Amino acid sequence: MMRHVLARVIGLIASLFLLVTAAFFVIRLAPGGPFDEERTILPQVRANLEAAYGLDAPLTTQYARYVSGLLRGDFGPSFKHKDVQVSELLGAGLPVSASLGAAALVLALLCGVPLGFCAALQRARVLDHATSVLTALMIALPAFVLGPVLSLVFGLRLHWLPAAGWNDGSLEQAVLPVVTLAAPVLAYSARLARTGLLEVLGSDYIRAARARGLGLRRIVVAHALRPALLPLVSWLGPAVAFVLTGSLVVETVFGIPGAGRFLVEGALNRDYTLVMGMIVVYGVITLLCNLAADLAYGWLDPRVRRY
Amino acid sequence: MAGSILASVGTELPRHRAALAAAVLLAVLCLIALAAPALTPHAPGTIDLAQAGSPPGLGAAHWWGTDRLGRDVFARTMQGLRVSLLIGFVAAFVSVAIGVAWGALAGYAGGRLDASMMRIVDILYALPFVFFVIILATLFERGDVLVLLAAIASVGWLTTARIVRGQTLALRQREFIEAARALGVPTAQILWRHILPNVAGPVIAYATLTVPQMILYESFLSFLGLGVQEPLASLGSLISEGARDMETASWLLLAPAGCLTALTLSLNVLGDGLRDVLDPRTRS
Repeated sequence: MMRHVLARVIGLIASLFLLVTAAFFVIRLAPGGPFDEERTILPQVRANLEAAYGLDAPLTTQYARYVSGLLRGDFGPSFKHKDVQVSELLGAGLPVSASLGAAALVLALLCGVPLGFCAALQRARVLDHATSVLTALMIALPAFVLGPVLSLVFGLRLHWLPAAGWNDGSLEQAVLPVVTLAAPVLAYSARLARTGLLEVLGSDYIRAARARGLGLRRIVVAHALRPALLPLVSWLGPAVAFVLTGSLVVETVFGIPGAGRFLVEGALNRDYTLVMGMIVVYGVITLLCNLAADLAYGWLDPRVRRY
Repeated sequence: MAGSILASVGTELPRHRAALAAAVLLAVLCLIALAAPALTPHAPGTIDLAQAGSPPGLGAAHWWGTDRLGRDVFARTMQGLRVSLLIGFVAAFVSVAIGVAWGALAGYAGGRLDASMMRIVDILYALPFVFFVIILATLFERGDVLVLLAAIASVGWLTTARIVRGQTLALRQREFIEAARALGVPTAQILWRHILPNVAGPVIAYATLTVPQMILYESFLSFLGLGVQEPLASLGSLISEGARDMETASWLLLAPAGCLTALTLSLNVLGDGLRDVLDPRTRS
């Protein structure tokens, strides 16, 4: 078990290193730079600026400097936000994004998994069909459609909830963005839970338990639920990446002061350090969640534990 | 092989009522999108400030209304639908082709090459890959449809690669492949003539599911302002525009949003149906 965890942690560090390296060079290879503006600046000013930010050094030196900074927890200064460190920008936006994303993920799993299990137990009956219609709709509706439509209906027309804004995450303000972000995750987790349970219920050991005369409820609770969750657990890593991507849109739609906007804004402005900071932080979050999902999988499935 | 796929789709899909309905809806959407220029006298780019912001109505000159600049919403939405369809299908084709090549090679080669190729897929799967797409789309010439296509297609191939690799791994053990190898058929030919036809079923099913994904990625980028640029429009950029004006002119949001939902819904349901029919693993 320890070896398994250790191998996974090493894999995580390697993936992170790969991500940072690839992102660094892709961003730099692109045309343009942070000091390209409409009004041209004097060559000397430009040279001074580039020297001040260390952009005059060869690319590999800059890369080494950036990585050694990262290892010390230093994301560097933002190129566009004057006199602001990237860590300050992210520190202001990330808590907002994180609470939005976590709330959406929890809501999706708390509603999606029971829904999927119930649908599986009611196979080919009304609830099952209703669930499949609902999940198909939720998957087809992307956040940039669902968000504005919800905001239009419940915010601007019915006046039940605020159409946009965040206001430090008050419950009223959070409902629409969290629901928008949760919908597709809810749908996928319901589907995974449903097929997971159906597959387990069709397996030999369940049939053997039924043959021995165990009641369905006992079988489901004691024997089927845990293995039925396995496909869902291995999907949790990608689910987190999905939520992070979705939060970019949801934050834009509802005007939420999260970190999501820094990615697009930073990339458009060639704010190299800001984009890199976003990629590093979001990369670490997804990779850690993948690791957690992996370990949870080993915990749920004793067959994997031995490695 | 191609014949048998067609045959099983022909006999089994009609029993899958949802998939059949989705196929009809998809066909209708495609037909309307293509026929739109003949259905309306208005061109998508024509600006008519006298008519700006007129609401939709059956008797009105613009039956889906007009936007702030007086452009016909029906013509604009249909043009967006065509762009989304084109990008979706081309990107899905490219990414499925990459996925099939990658998966078949890994599965057929086996051993260490397989392990390292699939490890790469695992790593990419775990990363917030869309971030790369955003960066690619932002950094290179904006509105360049080719860059957009490449960026979107680079995301879609991972699942296909996994599926094809799994199938190929199983096929590799079968007698007819071994016989071909014993007869000295070159590897490339075995892959092309014997492996590919046998993985075609699930690949077609998942390709159908990849198209709506690609359409959503494109619309996602266009919504963020990184995709298709004016005067060209895709459903995503129209939705983004419509969301800005939804307080006064909700039809600007609802027309493209409805089209996109109908499109992705029909493709998803059709793909799920095809998967039930064509993928041996889900066949019960």
